Amino acid sequence: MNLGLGLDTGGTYTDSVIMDFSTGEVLSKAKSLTTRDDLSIGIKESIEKLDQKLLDDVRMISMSSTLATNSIVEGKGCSVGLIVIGRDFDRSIPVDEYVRISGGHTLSGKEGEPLDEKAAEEFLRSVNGKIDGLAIASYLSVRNPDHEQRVKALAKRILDVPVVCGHELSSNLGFNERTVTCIMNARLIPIIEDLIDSVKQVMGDRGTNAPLMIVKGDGSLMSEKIAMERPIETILSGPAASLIGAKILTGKEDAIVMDMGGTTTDIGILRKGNPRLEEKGAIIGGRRTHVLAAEIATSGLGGDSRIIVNGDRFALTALRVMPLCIAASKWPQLEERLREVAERRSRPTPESMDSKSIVQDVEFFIKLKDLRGMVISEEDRKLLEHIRNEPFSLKEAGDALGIHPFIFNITKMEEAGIVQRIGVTPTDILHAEGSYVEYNRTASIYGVQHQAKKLGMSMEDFIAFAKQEVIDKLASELLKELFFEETGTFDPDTIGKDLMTKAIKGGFGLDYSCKIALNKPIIGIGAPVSAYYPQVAAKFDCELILPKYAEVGNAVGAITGSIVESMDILIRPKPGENAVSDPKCFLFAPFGRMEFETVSEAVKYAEGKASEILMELVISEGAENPKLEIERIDRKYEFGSGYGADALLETHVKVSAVGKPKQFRSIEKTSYYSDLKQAWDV
Amino acid sequence: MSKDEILNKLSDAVVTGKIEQAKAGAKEALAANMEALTAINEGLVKGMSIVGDRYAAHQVYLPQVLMSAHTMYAGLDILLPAIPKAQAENMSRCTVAVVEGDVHDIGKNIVKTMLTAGGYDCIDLGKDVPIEKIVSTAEKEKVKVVALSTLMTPTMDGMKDVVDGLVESGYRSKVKVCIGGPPTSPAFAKEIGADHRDSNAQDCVAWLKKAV
Repeated sequence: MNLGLGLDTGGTYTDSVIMDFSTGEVLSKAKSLTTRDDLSIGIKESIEKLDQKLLDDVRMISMSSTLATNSIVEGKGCSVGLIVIGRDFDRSIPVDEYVRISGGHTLSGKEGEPLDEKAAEEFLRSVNGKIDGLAIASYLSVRNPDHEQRVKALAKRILDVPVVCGHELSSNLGFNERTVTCIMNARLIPIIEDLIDSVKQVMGDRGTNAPLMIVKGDGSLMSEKIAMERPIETILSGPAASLIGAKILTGKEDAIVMDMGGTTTDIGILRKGNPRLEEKGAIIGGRRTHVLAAEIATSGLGGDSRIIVNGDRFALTALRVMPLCIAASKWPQLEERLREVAERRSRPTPESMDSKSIVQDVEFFIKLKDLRGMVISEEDRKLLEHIRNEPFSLKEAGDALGIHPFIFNITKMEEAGIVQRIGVTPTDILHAEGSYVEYNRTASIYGVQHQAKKLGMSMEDFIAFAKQEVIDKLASELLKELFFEETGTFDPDTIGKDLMTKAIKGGFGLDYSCKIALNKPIIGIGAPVSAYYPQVAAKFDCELILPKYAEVGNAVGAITGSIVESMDILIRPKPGENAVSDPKCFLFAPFGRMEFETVSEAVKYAEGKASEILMELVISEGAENPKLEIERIDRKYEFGSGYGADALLETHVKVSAVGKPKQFRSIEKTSYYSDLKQAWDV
Repeated sequence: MSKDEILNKLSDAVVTGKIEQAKAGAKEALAANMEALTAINEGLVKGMSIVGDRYAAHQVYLPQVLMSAHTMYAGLDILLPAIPKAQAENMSRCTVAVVEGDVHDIGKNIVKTMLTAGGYDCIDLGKDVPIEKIVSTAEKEKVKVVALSTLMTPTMDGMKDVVDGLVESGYRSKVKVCIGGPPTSPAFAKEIGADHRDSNAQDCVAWLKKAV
């Protein structure tokens, strides 16, 4: 048998599937909670739940991930050095060791000022032993990588740590974005190494040593070796894998894919079989980077979103809490206490205007971890002691400790990750309804009964009402995303808002109603999809596809992607030559800057050289029978009225090598950029 | 002389191109304790706007516009140093240049005049300006607008280089790039990633007032 194991470490769940490559059939699937502190625990649990007999026949493993981005943005983790050449970095993300040296190029790729190799060497010697990774970014290195390459060669001689240059990660203009990408990349290297090692160890323990592939932000695959050089490209791969999974499971090339997870709902679009990409580069931790990633609209609505009744107002908030049903399977004593809350007569409880600090009888807190140097009040300390082993509501804890519940600074401790909030969620609504039951249903029923009572509703009415709120929110997030795609703005005016509300809620205003129809199907991924999506699709008059293995669509996407490596080469006519037919030109590529007598010569060279480099690379990564995709884009412009002729602004040659991974093949040790230089000696 | 009379004297001087009258008016304005900015905006600039309008309506010829511009600058030479520092810092800055390889600067000069009349503190880089110099000036002087001109087709792609340079330096998002000159077109502006192309200075300033 020819099987593949797909893994996806999401924000909430770690999913795994075993798929038969020859039939496309999912043979086994499993889910476990993602363990953020050490991802390997969740991965291990997920794999252990799979059909263990099948693991022997696994020929390839592929993993997508939504790695925690905080560490790289906050500068935690390993220690990174940065050398910038010819320009200061705006220091928008922290680095540990930093130097600016002179050098850099002009827009036409000429040397702007000579490279100060002496200063580079001095810095490199001074940081030896202090840093775990080095980033090098030179001004306009995309027009000429020479200075970055020379400093890299120097660094390789002096240091024994990974070294990454800006031009290796991006061909786009934008010095700061390129530098940010480079720093984040350096910071991620040890993290991705750990992750890869732990997956291999889990598999190795089971006697499987199939090759491991990593999903990139655009949904394609890369080998573990390349992932360790360019980990930044893997960072937003989870959502891209969902999109690819949706395509594989449904066979649809054009569709809107909605993935509702525990924490968020991600909306992405498949166009001609490919995830639509973020053109300007993905934003990671609030910083624009040059990472190619699927453009995904994320909204804070998931199965674990917090539902509260504040006085007589219902609210569905973006805060993620542990559902009652899950908590009660972990701490069975909660069920009895919830029953008591549900059955007692409604009586006044202290509530608050601020929805985060509001005290709810059906919300409990459990201590997650010890304080790490955080200063808290005496009352909070008592509370933490009280909820050390068992969750209590603020009111219960307050009564036991003789402290008014408002005294506790619960939000602060929650945000610091010291306590976990437990409460009513959409998952509990479905449990109470009985439409999706995986954990303790009784606990959910009690919790929902209590909330319903506060609103003066029956439990059935409350469930219907809450589900409608979730559906309307999903519909509105979907519309916002589609509007943005069409108009480039998130700003609906008064009329736009009115039409949107009517399209979502249905019904007439004074004189009119509004119906919005989609021209492509919605594919629902993630669990539990059938509870909400049919009504969302009905609102927009479109087909809804809920594939059989929707709940593990992301893991399916991980295992079915192709290995893709691409290169974008820019060819620009020399100054004053634009209107000449087939003019003299410059060629700017990751392998260097060159000059040609004609554009057609340059294009021919670019195609040939990029093809050779990329084919060699994807084959080294394990691609079988890779194919080349070559695209030439001539950007021309016309002169103003009266001039007639047109001229060539620039030519882009985009080359991609694409191949399905060959299974169970040993991967040779090669490094793209180092081998590149030897092979081509540019 | 009343305040209005002084202002009228200034605008009239610019419209008719009388340099000495502009200088005298500027001195009188300061002697009468008028704010320098008021004298500029409601006197000199008002006159220049009238000339700009007439030129756009084909009622006056280019040499007349240039004479008026000359007159305005004579008045500005006296009034600008009198602007309090805090106020001067509030003026939006812009830079104008004829791109590398081209020396035709009449159009650029008209744009500069109208931008000054539109309340901009103009940094004139002149003609045949190296791309790198335009890019670095924009960032160093924190300008809000980069206005580029060329008369010839072979130098047009220098405008694309300026936009590319601004993208690389990270300053592109903080600045509007306007282009002009007979061989350029709105489609060309879009192709190279500039914000705007106009065929006369008056309209360009009007566009900027809305856009910035």
